[in-house]
Amino acid sequence: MLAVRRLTKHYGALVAVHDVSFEARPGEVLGLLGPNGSGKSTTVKILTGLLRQTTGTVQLDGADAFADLEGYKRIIGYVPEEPHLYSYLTGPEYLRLVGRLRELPERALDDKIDRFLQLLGIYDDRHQTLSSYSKGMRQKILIAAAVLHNPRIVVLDEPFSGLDVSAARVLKGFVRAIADEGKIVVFSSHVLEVVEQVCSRVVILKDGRIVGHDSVANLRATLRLPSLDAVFASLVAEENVEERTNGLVAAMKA
Amino acid sequence: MLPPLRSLREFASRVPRSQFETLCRAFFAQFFSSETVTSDEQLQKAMAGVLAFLITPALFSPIQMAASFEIAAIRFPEMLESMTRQMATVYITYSMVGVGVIAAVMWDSLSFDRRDAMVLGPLPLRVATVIGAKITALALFLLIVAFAVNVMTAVPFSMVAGTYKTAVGVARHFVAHMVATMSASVFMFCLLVTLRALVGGLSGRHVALASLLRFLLFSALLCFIIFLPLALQVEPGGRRRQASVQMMMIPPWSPTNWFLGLHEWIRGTPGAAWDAGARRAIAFTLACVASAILTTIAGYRRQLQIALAPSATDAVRSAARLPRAIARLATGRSRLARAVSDFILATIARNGTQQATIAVNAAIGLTMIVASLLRARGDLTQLMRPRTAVLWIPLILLYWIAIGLRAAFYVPSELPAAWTFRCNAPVQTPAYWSATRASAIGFLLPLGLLADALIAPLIGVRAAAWHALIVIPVVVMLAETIALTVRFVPFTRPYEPGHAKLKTRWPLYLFGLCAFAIWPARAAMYAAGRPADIVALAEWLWAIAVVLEIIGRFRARLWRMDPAEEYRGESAIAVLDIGIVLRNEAAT
Repeated sequence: MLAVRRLTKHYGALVAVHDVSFEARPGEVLGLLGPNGSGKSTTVKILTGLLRQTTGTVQLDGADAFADLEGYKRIIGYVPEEPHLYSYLTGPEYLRLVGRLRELPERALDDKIDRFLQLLGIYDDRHQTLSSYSKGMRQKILIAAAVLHNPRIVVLDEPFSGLDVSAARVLKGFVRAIADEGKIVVFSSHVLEVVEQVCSRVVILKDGRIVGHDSVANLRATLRLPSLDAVFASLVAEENVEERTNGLVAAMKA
Repeated sequence: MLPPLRSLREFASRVPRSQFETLCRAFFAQFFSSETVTSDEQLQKAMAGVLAFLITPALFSPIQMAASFEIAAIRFPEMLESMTRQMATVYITYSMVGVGVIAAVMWDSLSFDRRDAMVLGPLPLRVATVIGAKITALALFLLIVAFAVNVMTAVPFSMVAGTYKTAVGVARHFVAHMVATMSASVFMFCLLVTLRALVGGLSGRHVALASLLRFLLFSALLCFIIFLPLALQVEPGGRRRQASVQMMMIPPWSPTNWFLGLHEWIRGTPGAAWDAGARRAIAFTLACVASAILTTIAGYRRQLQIALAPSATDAVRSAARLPRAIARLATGRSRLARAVSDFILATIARNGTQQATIAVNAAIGLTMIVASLLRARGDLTQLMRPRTAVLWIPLILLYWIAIGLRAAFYVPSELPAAWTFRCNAPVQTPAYWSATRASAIGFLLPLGLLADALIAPLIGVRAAAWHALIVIPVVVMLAETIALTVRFVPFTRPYEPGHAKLKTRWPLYLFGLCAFAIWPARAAMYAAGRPADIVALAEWLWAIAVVLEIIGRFRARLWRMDPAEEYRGESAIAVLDIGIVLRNEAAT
């Protein structure tokens, strides 16, 4: 089990994450929800070991996950929010780089890359550099790179961004399937419908603090609201939506 | 009374900017920005340094010539015209080479690229406005640069060469100088803009072609600077012999001669050859301007086409196969080291920024070789035997390419993508050292052997083959030394301007030149013709390489991937992990 305990992160005077605690269990998909600037991405980066928290701990099976950062990184797969890739490499070259960095066996790696490329529908573009890939194709490469080593923990930050409907459906099923395999999946997204379909439990963040943490069904029942969208609006308290919408229209016309 | 600056700014901000003006400013700003350097201020300083490097010799050379002109005016007035023409030839060549180098530095901004087309394509802009703004920005840049480079020579040279003439003569000389040198600059700049637009429209190896051009232009500039004192020889006169000014022959087809014709035509020097040269200069300059405009127009359309429908020819084959194969031998069985060395070599093979760094340093090496060969004064027979000036050719080139390679390691390639390493690779492993050393061997070895093969026509195949026994351990020594001086995965850190510290570390670079090129070449010269001595020398060099290897293996444990957050830059901007750019509060 991956447990986050009283996590706080400061950027100078700015508090990006404040006293956040939650758990992600094997076999479930934990959703991280929140508006822009709520601290989702910072939390995700701390979970992946890319950022160091100011205070608090991240524990894996009861032990400090970062005590053996190398070992922790070995069992984690990560899809970042922005598809930053070495654009002068081809898709297979990039995946081979990641696979070798993770020291996967050479022959098995090549077979695995070919299978991923075929299943994700980008095999025909294998000789093109990533600079010529669409956003969706890059996203598929990122997803393949994240799971190439069969990780125990998968952290996905807006993983379906830019994907077409068909690919998104396949990958939603894939996320649920890997959770069913007993993996720990943390899924951060803005898209509430997707979170509702994919996640077993959600953590809702606002201004770096947790404002809601439960299963989608429980949240709906507790707040007596019909959908996650309504729960989110209620908890995040998007004040004066109508007023802001009208303001935007007025600004556009000005 | 002048209006206060603030009110002028307020007034300027109220004047509506047209699309054309906005675009023009944006294109002009592209010449002074870089995505690799984190601080624009540092980049502007570097550019000011390049300009100062180009302008200073030109400013001082007419002043240095002043005494010669004075003596000639008093004692040998018939020589003045000849001296003036020879100096004009030098300045015309300087103008072309100088502007060529600046254009090579700004290579990527000389034409449209795919991103311009992607950003500007959807906007409600007329194609004519976009192209017109780009051409205007290019013209403005050319005028500023060409004027800065040429007026520095025109003013003192007109004063020096015109002291024995009337004021009208001085003015006419100034106009002739400015027109000839500016036309030469325009000719060269437009030629390069045309090339850039043509190369940009090609798929595949355009990055390598651009780097080759940079290498040639930098070599041309540096060779010009060292060639000048040898090309122009002023012999002072004596009681029994007349003074003379001699210059190496410039072939009639050379563009320099056309612009010299223009220079003389404006000065009113009679002669059919000058008139013909002037006509050619005007015709070729206009043709180059027209081709630059046409290829810029075609370039924009081509980039739009590429942006909308990427060509199937964009497909790439495996990059740098031979270097990668060599590097794999050097990395052994470590998959991690192989991954990093493949990454390093693919990055060099496909990125213009890294190649440019290597090309500029290789140009220094080539210049040193040319300078040493010039001592032969065209007598090739002197070079047709093993001698230090010949044996050091591959070693000097290798040394400077190695310096460039090391510098290129500090230049990031797509910094935001460095998360790939931070997330997927170990923080600390000797494999990073092994990969860097192996990729340096893989990169340098084929080049070293190629350079060694190039001297085979001079010293013979057999002697060149024996010399290869020296070149190979020197390559390994260089690679080991590079790996000793780097402690991170190349291309994954923000660039810190001035890390080379040339001002303070030049003795170290000089020592390196001696250790890796001059001393081995001298020792090889001493052993030439005696295979046993050559083998013994190679054994010594291998022994040094082994010592460096042992030190490297010991220090390899220190190699680490930077933790994302801990980068401490001197500038106010620090680039953190996955492309997050934050203000460094301590610095601000």
